[in-house]
Amino acid sequence: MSISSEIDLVTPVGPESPELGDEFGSASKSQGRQALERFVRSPMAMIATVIFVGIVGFCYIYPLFYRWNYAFADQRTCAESAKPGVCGHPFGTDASGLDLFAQMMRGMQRDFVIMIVSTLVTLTIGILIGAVAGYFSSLTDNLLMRFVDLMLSVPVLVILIVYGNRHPDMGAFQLAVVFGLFGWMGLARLVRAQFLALKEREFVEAAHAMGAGNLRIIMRHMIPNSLGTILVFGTIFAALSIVTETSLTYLGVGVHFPDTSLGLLISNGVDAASTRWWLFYLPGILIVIVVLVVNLIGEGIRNAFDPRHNRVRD
Amino acid sequence: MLIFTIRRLIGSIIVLLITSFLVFTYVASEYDPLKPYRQIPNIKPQTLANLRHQFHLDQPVLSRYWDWLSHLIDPTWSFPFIHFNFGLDYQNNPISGQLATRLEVTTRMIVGAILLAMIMAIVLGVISGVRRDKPIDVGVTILTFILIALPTFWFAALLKDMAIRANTGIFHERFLQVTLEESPGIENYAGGWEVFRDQLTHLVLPTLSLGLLTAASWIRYQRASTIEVLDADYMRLARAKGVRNRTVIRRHGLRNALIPLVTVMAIDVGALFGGAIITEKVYAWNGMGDFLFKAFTNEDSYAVIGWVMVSAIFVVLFNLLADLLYAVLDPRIRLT
Repeated sequence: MSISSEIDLVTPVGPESPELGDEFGSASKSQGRQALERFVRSPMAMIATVIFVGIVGFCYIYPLFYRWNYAFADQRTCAESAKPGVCGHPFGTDASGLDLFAQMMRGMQRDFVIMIVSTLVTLTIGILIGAVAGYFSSLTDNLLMRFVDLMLSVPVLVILIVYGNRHPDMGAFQLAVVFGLFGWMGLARLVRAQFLALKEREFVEAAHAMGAGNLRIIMRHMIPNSLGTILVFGTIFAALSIVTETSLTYLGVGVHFPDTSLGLLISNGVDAASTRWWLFYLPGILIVIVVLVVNLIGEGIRNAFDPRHNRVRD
Repeated sequence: MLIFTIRRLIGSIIVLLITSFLVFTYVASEYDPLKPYRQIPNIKPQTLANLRHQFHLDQPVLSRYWDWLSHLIDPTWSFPFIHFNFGLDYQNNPISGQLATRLEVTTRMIVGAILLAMIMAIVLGVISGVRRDKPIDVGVTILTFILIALPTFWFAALLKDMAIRANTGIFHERFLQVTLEESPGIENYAGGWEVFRDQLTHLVLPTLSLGLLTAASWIRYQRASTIEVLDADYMRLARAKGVRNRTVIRRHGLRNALIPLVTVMAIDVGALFGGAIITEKVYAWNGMGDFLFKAFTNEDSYAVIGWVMVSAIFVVLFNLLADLLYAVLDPRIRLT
């Protein structure tokens, strides 16, 4: 899965001028505020947000009260590959007596860190390069875009495998940073495309005429007007980073034993699918739910910024 | 358009050259192709030194790159006219031959998957776009979102587990094969038809797994562009002229709604030729992805570069194809 569906990610750039307000003549609200209101009013997006916050919050708070630690191996004989509910382990244990429920909560914590860190890194680089390429003259643009082409010519997964092979002690945090460092190309293209369109708009020209500097125009006018695209990319990338983490860990170059992650849990559970189903299915279902919810949040943001998708015509 | 194609081809060759140079220098400086030999117990230092010399590892990286590049293309007068020569792997077997076999195995896997994904994308995408917000659209949307959320290897392993259960529970024989691209050595004892049938039973699971996951984003795409097209003025005009709704959608709608999908498909398909590393690993196929993975483990630098070149060539070619298709399908776009 890749973020190649670029056209799908683009939300339209803002109204002719930010001060004009919307076409129904309501009081002046910024585009961001309107989008936020639409987001809050959409049931699907709000349910998804609540579930996501609920899962993450639970996985950070509940381990404080839970009787098993994720790294504690229960030595009793009944706790070896225990079925769910047996021997005081609600989700069962693996072959060495580690509690699956505790491990899943810990894994979710790690995946949350991976999501946040890799998305922040990617957004920073992608916006920076896209903005510079789209705003400045054709030479800078050309050089940067050829650089993007170059980065795209080798698949990200391959780069990550090579890197992971050379650094076998890589932890979740480092994995996230590296993934972020190689994931920004799509965003850079999107931001560049938006900036090219925005550059021709009257309000940017007006800002120029009033003597605003390049940095001010980019920060105050162009980035806020591309916010929809950036946020949608960000959420989809966050979902993708979890999926990529599971893939890398499955290939043996991601998170390793003393630590745990959802990817590591299902990688270990693959061979047990038919004999000890809980080790394979329970963490897998958690991943599917989390990625699904994050994608739905992204869909909600897209609809909020692009009301065309909601409006019933005729 | 011809000039555009030529310009793009030249640009692609430059990108390929730079990529090959960067990857080559990185791999040559980081990898130790003698690693498998070092693991042989009691190997003599003299033997290692001989091997170093034999593999030209004692020469500077730049001269090795030139050596590799100058032998890369091997023109011939028979049919393909060009032979690629990617050098030898660490066991002194030519890499091009191996890559050709691997490419054939991978192609077998992805052709079915692409067809499945294409059919699903067009049928489900158009239906859910036309019947927007109706139950069928909601169902398709939920299906695609779940498919997008599935980690590749988890889904592949899930299908594998289900197939094993079906084999024991329903068919009472190994009807669906869950590993390898064909039964080992089947050519030695079976005829053409049986080999074909054997390969088909091995194909079912990987095709399903890869095809469904690829279809997910394509369906979203087709749905979005169908909705966009339904709003267009020419659609309203056609309906106003009294053309039947079905005909309007088929003649005017579908044709225009397919344009974005076709370009996306071209790009995705180009990337697939590099091998579906994870799907191949779950089903133990000996395809391109597996080749790359083995090359990494053996730190076999020439094999890695060979793989990168083949997959990059496919990516570049299909990207070009995407641009050309865009122009052919949509006459409003002029390529310059």
